[in-house]
Amino acid sequence: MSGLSAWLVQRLSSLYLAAFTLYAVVRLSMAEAWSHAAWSGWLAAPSNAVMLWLAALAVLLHAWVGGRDVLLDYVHPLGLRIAMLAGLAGWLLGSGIWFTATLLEAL
Amino acid sequence: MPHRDKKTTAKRPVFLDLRRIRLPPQAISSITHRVTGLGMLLAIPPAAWLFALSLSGPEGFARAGDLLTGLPARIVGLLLCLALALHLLAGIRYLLLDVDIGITRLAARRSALLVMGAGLVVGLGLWWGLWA
Repeated sequence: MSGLSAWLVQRLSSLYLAAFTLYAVVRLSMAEAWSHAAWSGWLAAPSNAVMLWLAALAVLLHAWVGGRDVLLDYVHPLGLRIAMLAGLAGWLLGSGIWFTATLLEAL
Repeated sequence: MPHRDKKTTAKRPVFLDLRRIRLPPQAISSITHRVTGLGMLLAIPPAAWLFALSLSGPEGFARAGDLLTGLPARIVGLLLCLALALHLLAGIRYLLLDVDIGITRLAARRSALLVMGAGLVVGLGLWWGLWA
């Protein structure tokens, strides 16, 4: 992902995340007593799970584009650059797969 | 360094005296945006781990709660709250700059100072609201 598509993904994901962050802060401030039952119950609603999964997807895409930009700016030796880009991809992809698996189990 | 044409760069002067370079607020906000973004990027796998732990059952949920209310999590939480607020507000500024709002030098200078000041306040407030 590069050029215009990366630029667009960065902005679309930022809009979703800005709205989601605002919602999350408001929702957290309204939360009653914390419990495992309330937490897993909230996630069992498909609309909440989808909203959260989309937020995670937006975070990962946003972090990929931003992290890639930073690496391309500061890491110039080709081998190191490729290794760090691969590390970043694994870092994000691993987190995404883990998060998705957890979410599917909770449904 | 990126590839450069030797004919045009051979005698280019280099000035990198960090004590005498004065970065404008726009540049400081830009660097802050990058540093805060990287900081939050590093927190992604621990967040996925805490998420899994909190859903693993009532004991796991209690364990995640204990971890989050501990001192290390409070300190990391403060840093992440500041990072989120600074990054989000600076990001909104960039979206506005994209559509040419506040694009003049003076306006951009003022808005950079504004988002950094507001970011610190909002970040502290967020941390206070979540942990206090």
